[in-house]
Amino acid sequence: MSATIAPSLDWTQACAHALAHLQEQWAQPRAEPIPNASVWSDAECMRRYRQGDAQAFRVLYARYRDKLHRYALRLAGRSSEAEEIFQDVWMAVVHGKDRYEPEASFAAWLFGIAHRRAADRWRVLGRHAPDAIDACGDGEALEQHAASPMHAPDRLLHNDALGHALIEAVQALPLPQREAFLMKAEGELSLEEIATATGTTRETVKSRLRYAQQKLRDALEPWR
Amino acid sequence: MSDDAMDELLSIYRRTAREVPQPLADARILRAADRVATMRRIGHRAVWPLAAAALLLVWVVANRPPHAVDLPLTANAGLDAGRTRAELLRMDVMPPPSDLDRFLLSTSPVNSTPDPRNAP
Repeated sequence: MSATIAPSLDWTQACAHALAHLQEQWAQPRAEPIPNASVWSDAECMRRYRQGDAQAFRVLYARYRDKLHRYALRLAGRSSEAEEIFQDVWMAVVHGKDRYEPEASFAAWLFGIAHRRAADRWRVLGRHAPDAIDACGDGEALEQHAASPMHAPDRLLHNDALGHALIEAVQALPLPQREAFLMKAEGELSLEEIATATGTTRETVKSRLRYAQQKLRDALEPWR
Repeated sequence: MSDDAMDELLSIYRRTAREVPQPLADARILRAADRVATMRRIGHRAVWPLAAAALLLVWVVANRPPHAVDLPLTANAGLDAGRTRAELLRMDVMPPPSDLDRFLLSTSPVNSTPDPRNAP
């Protein structure tokens, strides 16, 4: 008889412990202090977000929000389209967080999603990706701007006008070169990561970047 | 490809590119992210109630009242049914046919050659 009573007491104690723990869980509405979110790596943020930590997602969002938005903006060319791609990508991150593998770079994963979303979108819309966008004019406008007496090349080196000229030149690049340049400039991705994100080889990415660099330097030549 | 030249281009680009998304997009994305995180937290917390319920169920089953443990009816009912079935199977259900039964059940004609002596 005692042999049958002893386990029942253990069960009772186990139940009591479980209920006590349960009460503690419900009594504390996420009172965890946030240590220092800025030191969390991207992988750590994703790991925390997978476990339900919304703050970790905010850290990631703050890190990549502007970069991804500018990437989408330069890729799509239109602000409204860029906003839609931007939101699509983040929604894919939110709902596909369990598919992220911590061994890979989060930036490469994020920009890879953006690359695929943009391609899917253009496929659905039944048109080609915007290629060599004329943001506001073209190279001719750039040259006129550079040649004006108010903007002497010596004085405008590294100033805003040069920067705007560069951005216009970036938007005039062919899509694959533009995408490679933007992934490097905004995502700070390596050649291998860009290759993974765009589904090409490292050598192809290297070649695209070389062509992009050459064209950008040519476009900025009047300013130098 | 010159790294210095590329670095210079990247530096100029990063210094100039300053566009930001609309606050409405921020709100929409963060709201969705919070909602998913909340659902995940609730999912994690629901483990404990389920575990507690399972423990409680095991405890209740292991500590049933003694009068409910050995009910003779439930144990013997199957045995009785089996025994009755065996007896029924062993039972000879065909009664021995009597002379009258044999005569009535017989399919062969009783008198195939009629006696002509009594014929009208």
